[in-house]
Amino acid sequence: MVVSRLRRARILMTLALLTVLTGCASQGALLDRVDSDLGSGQPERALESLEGLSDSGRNRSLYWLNRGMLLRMSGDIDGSIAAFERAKDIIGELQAISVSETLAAWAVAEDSGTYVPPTHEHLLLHVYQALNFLQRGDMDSARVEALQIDLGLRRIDPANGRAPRGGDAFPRYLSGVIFEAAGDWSDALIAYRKAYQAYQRQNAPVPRDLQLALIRFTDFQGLSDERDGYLREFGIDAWEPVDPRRQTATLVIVLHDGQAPRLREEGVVLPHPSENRLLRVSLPALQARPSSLTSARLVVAGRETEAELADQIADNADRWLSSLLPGITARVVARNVARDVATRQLEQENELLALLFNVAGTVVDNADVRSWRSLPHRLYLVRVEVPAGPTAWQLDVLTARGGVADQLQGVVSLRPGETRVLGAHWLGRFLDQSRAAASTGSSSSVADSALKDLLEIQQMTGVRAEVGLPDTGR
Amino acid sequence: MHPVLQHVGRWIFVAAVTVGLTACATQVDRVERDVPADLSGRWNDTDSRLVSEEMIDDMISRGWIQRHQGRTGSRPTVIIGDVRNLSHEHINVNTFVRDIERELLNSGEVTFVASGVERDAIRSERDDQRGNVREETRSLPGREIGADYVLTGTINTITDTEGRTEVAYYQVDLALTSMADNTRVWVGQKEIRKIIRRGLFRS
Repeated sequence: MVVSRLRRARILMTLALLTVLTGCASQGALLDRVDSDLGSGQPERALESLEGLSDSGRNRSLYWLNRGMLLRMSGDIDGSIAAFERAKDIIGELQAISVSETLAAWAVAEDSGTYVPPTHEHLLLHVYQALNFLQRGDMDSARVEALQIDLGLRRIDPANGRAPRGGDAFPRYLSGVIFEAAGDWSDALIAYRKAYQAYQRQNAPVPRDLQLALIRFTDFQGLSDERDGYLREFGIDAWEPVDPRRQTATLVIVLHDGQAPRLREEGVVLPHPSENRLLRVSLPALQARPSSLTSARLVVAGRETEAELADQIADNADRWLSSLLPGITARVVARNVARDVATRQLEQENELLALLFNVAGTVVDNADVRSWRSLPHRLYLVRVEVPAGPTAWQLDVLTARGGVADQLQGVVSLRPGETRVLGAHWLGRFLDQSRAAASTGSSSSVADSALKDLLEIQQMTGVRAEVGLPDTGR
Repeated sequence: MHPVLQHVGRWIFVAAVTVGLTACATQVDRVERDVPADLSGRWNDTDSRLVSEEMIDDMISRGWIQRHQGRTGSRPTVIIGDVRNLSHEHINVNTFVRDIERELLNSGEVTFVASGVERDAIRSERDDQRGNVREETRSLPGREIGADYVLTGTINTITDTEGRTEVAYYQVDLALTSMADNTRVWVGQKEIRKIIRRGLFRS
């Protein structure tokens, strides 16, 4: 009786493994469908496809991260804010260690645990939430996100507040932009400094806009030695000093380009060298999805400013994966050994069951290829000073030969001293929702009729709306 | 297996399933407003209520009310201005402002006037009464009471983390400023310190 119970339990275990396997396959297909919908510029359809990914279980954080991003791309900023807050709560709960999941990762499969986003994705969650608040004009809430970025990084590295595998440069840079816009200028300087150090650690070019910000704020704080050091290092000899009573406004546009790299499995199934059993080695590998965008420029009142590369999400993912591979490889070896030992013991009782167990265990032993795929490939940022009042702007996406591949136009109305941050998603072309937000969402309460006039002039003439706009003279 | 043991085993199985199902069901417990419920360690309704109660108690116990009454012969009129959240958490400032309004109003020491958006809504309603409401019941424009003082404030935090322990220090600053000459008549401060110990393991 005892033997039959043992057998029954093992058959059940084998069946359970097969069930997990079926689940993994369908989940992978679902994420591919979300990817494909998004790639074809249909975030609403991608949202529908995402609904198949359960809100419960081990992919909860992945579901809410993707949902927040897709809602944002669909133009539902409030919905996106709610989804990202939910993601934050879930990720907060997942910071503790699960013994059962850790054991499962060593014994069954790499993807058997709950998805816990890596640091660079966690930081980007705060970045996108901040961008949501900024797009809604809620500076105080965006500032909360900037503080949470700092708090999160200080939890990882209490002494320096650095992300050990990078990914903190753009979050710090954006924090500086937020603090500056909120009038917290000493905090802005600290954030800009940390961003500069992070770009250097990542061997990434420091955006010119960040270089100028460092010079402006060290000058404003009277840190002349530090300012002169930056001037020498960046080769800058002219800059606009900080003016607490400025009558102009600031327009910032963040361009979200393409789709983040996805992880795919690279595996091999090998027969055991001496026994009638199978071994499997499966490791995750990064598959970049480069975009055709080569550069972009913002045109305001006839003045062109090039958008600068601010974050390479593919590079962050690459560094993260490289750091994980030794641990993943050790677990692959451990799982093969554990499976081999268990199969050998089963063979003594029932050879067929042992074979089933070995095959099922081998097939189930997948690499963890989950990641926040709806993130962009790269982020560009452009910041310009604009006159207060209604201002027409145009964002050009340029081809390698310098031709304009796509264009986004909008009008923004700003008060003196105000900073407005807008976003645009480009996936081979600008998303329709980005176009709609540019033409309507960015206009605030001031001078609505003037905005309509500007848009009408643009539509009638098909030219950039320099008409009626004062020139900044810079 | 012995039949008695089998019987006991069955009951244990049934009990385990029952306990398991009960654990899965949603359970709602109603608790008194005064019972603190700290779940995440973040700013919550208890903090909002305690801070507003203590700060308004402090505000109305100071001498500025008597000085105002001595000068004008009437109770001071207060409006709530901007209360900014400068903390690292998304705090619903509206509920905090509502708590302050309630405490101010219940104190009976000051006259309290509606602020900002509410005022616009009331004016719109008053405009709507023109032509739609019987004349003897109509409220007329131009009879609003102007505020003597505006209450403004900030919520700030300082956090310190060591391993899985975090200290969150909340500081709420409120200030009452005279609308006539911008003089501060009262400044209040309330601090809350929380130690949050996060578990190392989860299920």
